[in-house]
Formats: sequence, C-alpha cells, structure tokens
Amino acid sequence: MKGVIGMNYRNRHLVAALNHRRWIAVANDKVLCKEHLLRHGIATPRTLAVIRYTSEFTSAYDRLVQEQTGFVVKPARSARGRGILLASRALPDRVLLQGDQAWPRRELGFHIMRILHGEFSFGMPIDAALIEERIDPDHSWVLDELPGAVDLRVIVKEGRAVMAMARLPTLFSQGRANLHAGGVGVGIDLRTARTVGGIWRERPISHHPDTGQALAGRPVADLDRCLDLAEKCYQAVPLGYMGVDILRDVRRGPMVIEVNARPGLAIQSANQRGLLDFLAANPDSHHEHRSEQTPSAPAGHGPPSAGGRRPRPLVVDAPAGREPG
Amino acid sequence: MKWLQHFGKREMILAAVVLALTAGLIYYKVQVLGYTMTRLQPEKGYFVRLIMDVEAHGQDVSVKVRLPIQSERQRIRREEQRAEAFHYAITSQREGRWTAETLNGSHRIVYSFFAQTEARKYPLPEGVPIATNVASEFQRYLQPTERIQSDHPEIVAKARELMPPGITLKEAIQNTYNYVRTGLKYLAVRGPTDALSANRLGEASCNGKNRLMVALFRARGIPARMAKGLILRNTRKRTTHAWTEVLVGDTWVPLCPVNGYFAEIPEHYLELAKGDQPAFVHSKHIGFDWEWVIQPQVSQIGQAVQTSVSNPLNILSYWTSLKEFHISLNLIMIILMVPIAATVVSFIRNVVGLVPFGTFMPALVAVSFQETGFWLGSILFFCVVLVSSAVNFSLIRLRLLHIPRLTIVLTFVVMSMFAVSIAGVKSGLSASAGVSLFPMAILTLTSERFTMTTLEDSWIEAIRRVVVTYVVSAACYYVIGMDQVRLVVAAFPELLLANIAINLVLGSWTGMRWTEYWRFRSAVRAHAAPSGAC
Repeated sequence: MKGVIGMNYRNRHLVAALNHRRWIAVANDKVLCKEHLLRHGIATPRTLAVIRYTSEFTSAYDRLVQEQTGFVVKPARSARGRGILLASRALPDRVLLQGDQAWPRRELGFHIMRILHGEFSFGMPIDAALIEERIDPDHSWVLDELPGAVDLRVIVKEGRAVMAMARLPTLFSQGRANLHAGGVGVGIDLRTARTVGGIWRERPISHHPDTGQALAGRPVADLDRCLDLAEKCYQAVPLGYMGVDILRDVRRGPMVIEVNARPGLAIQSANQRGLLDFLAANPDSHHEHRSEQTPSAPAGHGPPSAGGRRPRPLVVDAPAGREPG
Repeated sequence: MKWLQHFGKREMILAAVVLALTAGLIYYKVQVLGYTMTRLQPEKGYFVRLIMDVEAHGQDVSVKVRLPIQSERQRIRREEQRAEAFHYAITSQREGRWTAETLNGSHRIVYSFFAQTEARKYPLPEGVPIATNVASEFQRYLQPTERIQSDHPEIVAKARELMPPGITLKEAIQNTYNYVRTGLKYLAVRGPTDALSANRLGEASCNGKNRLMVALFRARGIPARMAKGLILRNTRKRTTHAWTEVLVGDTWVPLCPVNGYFAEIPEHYLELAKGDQPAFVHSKHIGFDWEWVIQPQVSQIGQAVQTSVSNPLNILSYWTSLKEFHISLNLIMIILMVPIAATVVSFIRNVVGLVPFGTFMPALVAVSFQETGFWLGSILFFCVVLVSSAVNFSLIRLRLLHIPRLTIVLTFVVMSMFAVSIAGVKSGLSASAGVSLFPMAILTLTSERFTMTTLEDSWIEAIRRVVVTYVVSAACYYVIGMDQVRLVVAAFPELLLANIAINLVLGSWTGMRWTEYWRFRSAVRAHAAPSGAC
C-alpha cells in the first residue's frame, strides 16, 4: 500500500504544489482551455458556437441548423459532466436529441439559460455555453460493442504520461463512461499497452457487467498516439499534475475532450497500483527510462515496474533482453 | 518514524511555535495573574441576584433581608453586595442589614450569590411514638403565635382528630401532611392567611397551609416551624416560597404540602430563613421594590470569564464590559465555539474521510443545535431538508431559473421552520426560541445539493450524504457541548491559537483518509503482495 495515495496527498503535493492557479482556472473553463489546445495544434472537437449572453442564442441556433451535424452543449465551467446535452441534429423548430427524443427549440434555449445562470457551476454564476461538434466516438475501443463511447483518462505528471485508465460505458450508466455514473474503470499497463482489470461501482471486477468480456489483457489501440496527445497537452496547459480525457473518433482518431486540473484517484483502483510508484520513478530521464525497460515482458504479467509507458517503436528495436542495472 | 513523513516540516514547526505561544500565555495567566484551575471545575448551581430599589426623601433608611442559610445541603458562595450610600452588615442569623442616614432619591441594592443545593430525603423512623418531653431548646417551637394559633380549641380538636392518642410519630406526620395537602384547596392569594382561617375556610395560600400545619403539630406537642425559601428556576420574580419543618428526634424534617414533597427537600429549594418572619423588613414611608433574578448555571462559564475582568489578556472581559450593548455571554460562547466545531469538521473530512454537504455546514448546524436543543434541532434539520427538497423537485419541473428557485426554497425553509417550532411548542417539546438563529440559508443550499444529488447521482447517494452531514453535525455538537471544552475555552480564549496549530498539522497531513483504505482497497491489496516479492 506504500504507493497508494489519498486525497490529502493529491491536494497538497500534487494539485497545490504543481498546478499554478492561473492554469487551473484555464483548465476549469472549457472554452478557454480549448483555445490553448488549438493554439498548440492538439486535436479536439470543432467548436460550433460559444454563447455568453442569451441574445447570442438565435444566431448560434441558425448556425446549428445550417451545419446539419450532431452537436454537444456543455457548460464551460461544469464538473463531472453536469449539464451536458447531446443532440444529433438541429431543425428550424426542434432539436433531435440522442435517443430519438425531440425538444422544441425554446427548450434548448432554456437549457442554455440555465447554464448561463450558473446552475451547473456552483459559485460561478457567470458561465458560458460551449457548443461543439459531436464526434463519432469509437464504441469498440478496448472492448467490442459497448453501449456508448469509451473514453481514456491519462494522468500526466510534469509532461510525462504516467498512468492511464479506460472508462467503459455500461447499461447501468446509461451509456455514460463516468465512473460515478456507473461506468467501468479499466487499468492499462503503459508498457504493454494492455488492460490489467477493472473496477465497477468501487468494486474490483474481471468481466464487463453487460457483455461479459474479460477486462484484463486486452490491447488498447492507438495508446501511443493518445499518450503523445496527452503529453502535448502539457505544453498547451502546463499543469504539473493533470488528467487528460481522450475520445477516439472513428475516422479522425484520438481527440482531447477535456483537461482536468484535479484528476481523481480511482485510477489507482482500476490499475491495482498506487499512483506514487509511477510519480516517483525517474521523473526527469524521460528517454533513459524507456530504454531501460524490457520490452519482452509477457502481456499483463510483467514484473511490477516503476511506472512509465511502453517503449516507442524506436526503443522496441533496441537489443532485447537488456536488463537494467 | 514512517508516519511522520506524512506531515509537513514547516507546518509542524509553525504549529509548535503557535502551541508554545499558547502555552506561554496560559502559563502567564495561571502563574503570574493567579488563574486557578479549580475555578474551571464545572459545577451545577444557580446564580441568584436580589435587586432592591429604594426611594427615600431625606429619612434614615434601613432594609433587612433574610439571606440564604449555609448548610450541608446548601452551599452559598461568592456572596457579593453592591449598594452605594448604604452601610452593610450581616448578623449571625444571616440577616442582611442595609442602613443609611438621611437618604435622598433612588438607590439600588444588589445582593448576589452562587448557590449549590442538593436534594435530600429524610427517612422517618417506624413505630416511634410521639415524644412526651421536649427539650427546652425546642420549647419555643411549641408556642402559639398571632398567626399560628396552636392553642385555639378548633385547631386542638383538628389535631386530636388527625393524630389520635397512641399514634406513631410517622403516622401523625403523614396524616397531617395529607390533610393539609389534599384536604385544603390551594389558593394563590397574596397577603397573610393565618392557621385558623385556613382551617375554617378549607382553602389557603402557601403560607396559610404551612401555618395551619405548624399549628396542628404544635397543638399535638410536636415541635414545628415555618421555613422560607426561594424556588430556583430560570426566572425573575418577587415571590418567595414557604414550607414546614417538623422535629423528628433532633432533625428538622421538611414537608412541602403545596408542591408535594413529603420528608424531602428538592434540589431547587433554596432555604432563606426559619420562622414566620417576612422576607423583607424596611423603614416606613420609603419607596421599596425588589426582584429576584435566578439563572441556573450548569457550569461556571460566567465566572470563568469574569474572574479576571481587569486582566488585559482576557479578551472576553472587554465583551462583558459591553453588556449594555446586549452582547450576551451565550452569544460570545457560540462565536468562540464556531472555530472549534470547524476543527471537528476538518478532522472528519481530512482524516476520517467523510464528506458532508457544504464546507462548514455541519459546524453551523451544530451551533444552531445548541440554540434549539439536540432533538428539536435534529427534527428541524430533517424536516427542513425533506420539505424543501420536495418543494425543490416540483420547482425544477416548473423550470424556474436558479436564484429565484433557491429563493422560493429558502422561503419554504423559513415556513417549515416555523411550522416545526410551533408544533414543538404546542406539544411541549421545547420552547424553541432559538429557532430564529437556525442557519436558513445554509439549509437551503443543503436542500439544493440534496436535490441535485438525487437528480444527477441517485437517491441512495443523496440520502447517504444527508446522513453523513447529520452525523458530522452531531459530532460537532457533542464536542462543543462538552462542559470542559466550553469552560476551558471561556477561561483561556488563547486556545483559539491552539486551534490554529491543530489545523496547521491537519492541513499538512497527507496520509490516507480512513475511508480511502476501503475506496482504494483493490490498489492497496494488490500492492501488498508483490511488495514483499520485490
């Protein structure tokens, strides 16, 4: 249990020590954060409109009707997915929501009004509504045929991806990947790019509750691209300890959805490992660290290594069997 | 010392410095300024003040008052009197005398003391006959007086009827007591009633009943006397109480036919004097008014605060000197207790790992429990949260915007508080005067969080967090309700510095919260095995 940390440790030694308030504020504002990500060329869903005043609703709605695409309405400052609305199409008089439901146009206006009045962002009455294009997320990332979008959470410490977890939707969570809502958290061994098992509703589980597929030992496609993307986020929003949420678009590949300045610790349970092990190991020697790893470890059963991610192709070519020390 | 690494070095040093400063201040107060810890022992008692107002026009004035007696069951301490323009003396019979020559205008006499009394029961011996010889020192308790007409034929006849020859002393006392208690109607009249007229009318005031009882005993040759006293209740009043004492062997046994205490004296009876004399005697032709002010004190917080009013280190002395601004000691105590309650919250959040709604909400709820009392407060808490959440649900259906919706919920919170309070008073649960201070705005936010949690999470989660909030509030209430805590903080407000030190330590501690061992158990457990193999 040496490496397992609690909220106290996270708040004091990670968030308070490594994250500058200015950048926390940026991460907490999805609109602002996105501007920074785009400036560094990081793939993220296209913004269709930003509404700061009720009067902007009409022109934004016209834009949505013209675009003829699915879109997502998000409060800029909400946490835990509060107030997020998924829509598949905007028509002149009504909005088609995900799941065959339809709202009259003014209903959407009311939802945006609730966002602007701060209902989803406690203590921050001035909020903005961010409307972005709905991407086409991969429902078969990590496991096959899941009832919703899979998302990947990567913990980045001072520019280095140290831990990752895939969040799988369930029928119980009504297609949401949020662990709080009932999603499954699946730990990922970064060296082997394979899953190691998971948790569901704070309990360890070995199989997906709906599909019955085994959670451990599955390859995670595009993991390297995701980790690179996550590490790149550090250049855009330099938070020493951050969580990057990534969705995988079927055509365009991994995209950053959100940057979190206070990522939670459930990732430890999903990986069955303490975060501290990964943080302490070779904080600076990014490259050396990788070359010291043995790439030949069998998937999912490697010796407990001191964190880090799997070697890139460049390093895989290095002479096999070279043991550290 | 592995666990020490979870604390911050700087913060620990800072905390040690603050603690040393606190200890130094307390040491200075105790050693140099003479604070004694014995003063801090919590005691139950009553702080009683007798306030007399005298108005004179150039006469010589004298006021005589029967002061509380000292006995084994009744300890009178810190007797103080304040009366400018008067000369004060106290007699060996504990009569206080205030005298002044050629007094003019209005003057006030304040006499105060702290009384600690005990309840006593007096077992009466069985089978003992009424004594025929009465020792000479008790002879005067057999004599008739103007109002206790024990030699009057009607009284003598009644005494014979109640106490026929051959009856035991215990039966005699019991019969007479029963007759006076139930045979006579109680009449709350002022003014003197004598024994004979009480017997003839079949109804009497407190004094009349007791005069009759004393007369009956005396007529039968049993020494008896009146006892005058004060009923100690949290009030201001002008009336005193009377009861009877009858001699059994060489013990005076109290009997109160009005309130039904047979051979016992309850804790809240303060004995002022023996005999049938009035409580006050004053010069004629002066304006005279008086009032007893009685305050029950579970502890000596008032004293703890006031012991060193002149001490510049006693911050509270400045507050008490501001009494004319109606800053009550109670309010000061409440304010002093808020940081202590907040420390309880920070401990429970950061060490135990239970997360209630809101940051300091449980601390404030606990403070308001002190106003309302724990049970009424608990009922209020749940009623308010449930009612307002029900309202909140329907308002969300109406699709109102955030702040106006919360305002409506707040209005309902106030209304349901009144409802509970009225119901409480009607059912005699409690005089819920403190309800006004119940943190309404905070409960409104609780209701909002509750509602939102049910909508976004689940009912179970919402109920769990409301219960956690209540439990944490109860824990805070328990800590700040402890007499020792209140007393020590009242006497040494410097301890708020220690409160800072505690939070410096708590704030630098980065160990696992207790609940996190459960939350992250799969990581904790999985790690335990290979760590040995490494």
